[in-house]
Amino acid sequence: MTENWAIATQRLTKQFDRQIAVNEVELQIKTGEVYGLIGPNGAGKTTLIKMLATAEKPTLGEIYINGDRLLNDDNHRYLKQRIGYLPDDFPLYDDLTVWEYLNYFARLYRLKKSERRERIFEVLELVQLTSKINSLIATLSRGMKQRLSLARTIIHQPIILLLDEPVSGLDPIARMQFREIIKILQEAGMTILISSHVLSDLAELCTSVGIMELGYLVESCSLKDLYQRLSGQQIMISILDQWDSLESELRNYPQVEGWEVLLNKQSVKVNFSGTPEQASELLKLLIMAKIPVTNFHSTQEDLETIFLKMGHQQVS
Amino acid sequence: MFNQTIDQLGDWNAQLYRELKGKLNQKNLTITIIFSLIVQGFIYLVYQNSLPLPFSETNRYCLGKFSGNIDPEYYDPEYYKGLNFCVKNGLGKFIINWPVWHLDIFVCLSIISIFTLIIAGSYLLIADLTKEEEKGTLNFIRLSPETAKGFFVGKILGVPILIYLLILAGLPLHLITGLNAHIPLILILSFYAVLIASCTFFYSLSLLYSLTFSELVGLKIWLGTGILFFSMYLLAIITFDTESLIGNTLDWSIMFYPGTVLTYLVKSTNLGDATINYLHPNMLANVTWFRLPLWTNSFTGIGFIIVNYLVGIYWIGIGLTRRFYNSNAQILTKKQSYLLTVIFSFVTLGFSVQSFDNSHNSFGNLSVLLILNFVFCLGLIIILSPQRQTLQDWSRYRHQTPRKQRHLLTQLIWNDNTPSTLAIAINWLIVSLITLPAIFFISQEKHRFALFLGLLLQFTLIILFTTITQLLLTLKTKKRNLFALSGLVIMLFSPLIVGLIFNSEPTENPLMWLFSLVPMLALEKCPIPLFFTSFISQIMAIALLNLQMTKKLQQLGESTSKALLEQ
Repeated sequence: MTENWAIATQRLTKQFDRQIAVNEVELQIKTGEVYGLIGPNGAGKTTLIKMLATAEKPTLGEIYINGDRLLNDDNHRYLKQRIGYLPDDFPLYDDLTVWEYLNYFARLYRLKKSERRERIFEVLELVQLTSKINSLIATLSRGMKQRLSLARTIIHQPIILLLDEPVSGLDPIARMQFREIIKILQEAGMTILISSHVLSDLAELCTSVGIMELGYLVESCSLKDLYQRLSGQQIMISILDQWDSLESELRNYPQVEGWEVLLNKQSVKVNFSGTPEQASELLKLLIMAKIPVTNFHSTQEDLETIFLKMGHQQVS
Repeated sequence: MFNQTIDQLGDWNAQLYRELKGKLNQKNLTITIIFSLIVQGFIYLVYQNSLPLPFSETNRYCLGKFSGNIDPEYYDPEYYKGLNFCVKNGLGKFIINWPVWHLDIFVCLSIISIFTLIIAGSYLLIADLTKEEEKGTLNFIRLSPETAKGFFVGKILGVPILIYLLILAGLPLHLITGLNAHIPLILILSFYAVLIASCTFFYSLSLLYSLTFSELVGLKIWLGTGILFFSMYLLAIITFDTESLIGNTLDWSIMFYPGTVLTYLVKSTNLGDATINYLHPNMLANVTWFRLPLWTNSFTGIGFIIVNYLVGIYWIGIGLTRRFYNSNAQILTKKQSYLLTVIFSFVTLGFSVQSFDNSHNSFGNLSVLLILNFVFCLGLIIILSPQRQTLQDWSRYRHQTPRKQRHLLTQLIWNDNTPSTLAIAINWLIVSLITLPAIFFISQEKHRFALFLGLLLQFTLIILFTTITQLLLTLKTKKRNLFALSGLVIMLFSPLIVGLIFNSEPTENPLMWLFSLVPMLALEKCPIPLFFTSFISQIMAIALLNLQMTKKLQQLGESTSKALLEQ
């Protein structure tokens, strides 16, 4: 059963002292998916990722990578070749240059001599550090160091990538660059598990999400399903005047569940439960009522709103 | 060319590539070579200055002997017999004993090399691995497919690379002086082989130390290097001046000092012990193991010293591998510890029974053996005792293990995640079974009973120590390892310190000594009721503490819901 999944866990548990950081987690991620892990600080995300990367030994439970059981000993070198792990901190060797650092890891991961050079240039290009090839690591900026760490994580062409808070502490431009890289890696067919507090990034990148609370995986489904189940439709309406008429029309329309006034009675955010046809009908009514509408568009609640609405905010 | 060589070496070992790339640059290389040449020049000048001056009458390197033509009423002829008088040749120059001069430089260079390699190399390795662990870079290597062996070989070859170059730069002078002192080339090469084996041994030990005592933080580097330096210094002094060893288990320690081999090299020059007056050839020749004279012949002697290092490297290697893959793992499994104890007991016993005619000192020798065995078992406590989390996991989820593997006694004997108390008791039993025949057949009858009772008291003491250490390891504080280590040191030394402070003789005031690691010293004249009081009180303490331990384990293993309900 576990063969069908890129990552599968069975009753995966980690206990620190009396505290259960990860509690009987049954995680399943399909090959090629980008899986976002959401949850408050202390919910067990980092511990779960660490166990998947073999950086932490589970108290109980099993992990399968493409159907093969993952163990914390020296007998799974073949499986280690398949995993790339980027933790939230990224210690590097300041006395090496960018080239030497990647060359070292390429050798650690047994890359053949003939393909090593090519691969290093490939990843440097991907993370946009080719110009820094001979620079000492100590001289790089935080964003560059983060990208170099990502280059190290993918140097051996893993098929599973585990990224723990990869954009924390990065400026907006560095974050955008990082997002673009992840998209390229996804296109290359990697299965990516990414934990982040920047939910807008996850919404842009992920195909599935999992929500962790109190060490439990309380939700795990495709992003599409989540939106379908939990995301309410909203309609943004802007007008020039005739506020009272708008209010009256909204009050009388059965699919309107409520609204929030924005920008000094010129815009309103309407919570709408109807179909697209019914939304179109509402617009028609407003026009017929001669209300000067300047903007009318439907949106969905974003991931952050859904997450906050679900109330899974307890730490383990 | 230079980079190409590093690349080729890196193809063989990735870790070596990283170390060489980080450390070998033009600046470091130049400084190292210049420093080596300066040191060599300094040593040469010092010995050059030791040669006789134009007005010298006697000198170590002169060849003239005492003629006996002095008035014994005013001068001591024996004193003059030991002096070398300076005589000149037909050209008016002093006749110099050049082989001795070269030998002195050779030995000086050898000892400097031993200390530089072992102490500086170990320091660099401990500092390097400590930094890797503290920064977290080691974890990335752990996650890669690199093997433990590949990683540690790379570290050992790469981290002290500048030290190696420093020594290699002095190699020509070392070789020339050795050959000029008429030491056979094969023996010089054998010395190098021993040096390589000893470096591998001490470097592996340093790496294991780095991975074990992570809580010592800032103190770790200096403490480790300091202990090593002190031990090496002590052994160097003993080897340099001692004519004959003491003939007990402590002789084994000499086999860990590579300079010991120099006695063979000095002997091969045939310059005579009286002329050279250090590194006396009989020191090693008299050592036996189970009465086998293994160190009489230079080559077999060197062979056994190398074997000694190799056995040590093998066992340290097991610990290194385990700690590399799992930083919380115990250094050895319980099963491995039983085998190690058998080997250790035989080796130490072999050095304890060196000859039949030492029965007059058998009590002393066997006491030393028992002390050493005791210290070994204390080491096993550190090696085998699991951490709080491991015990908690075992206690909490034991009911989920298959029924066949759930038998408590079997788990306590073989499983690494269980308390170490029973395993330590078994190890002590192994030690005792191997030592007991020696006590009954070798010691004099009057000492037999004291030694036997001593063995018994040591047993209760070691179980007491294990239980206390294990209890300290279950403390909630993060510094529990430090507490356990400190507790062990305090328990070990406090009775001795109290005894010394109050100047109490073991035979006159035996009570304190019955709780120390040398109870046998007090037992010779100890009243039997006092022995029983001490024995029973220790047994009671063990029972109470183990009861406490069981309670603690039950508490640790409680389910979270049960704990919540009780609150």
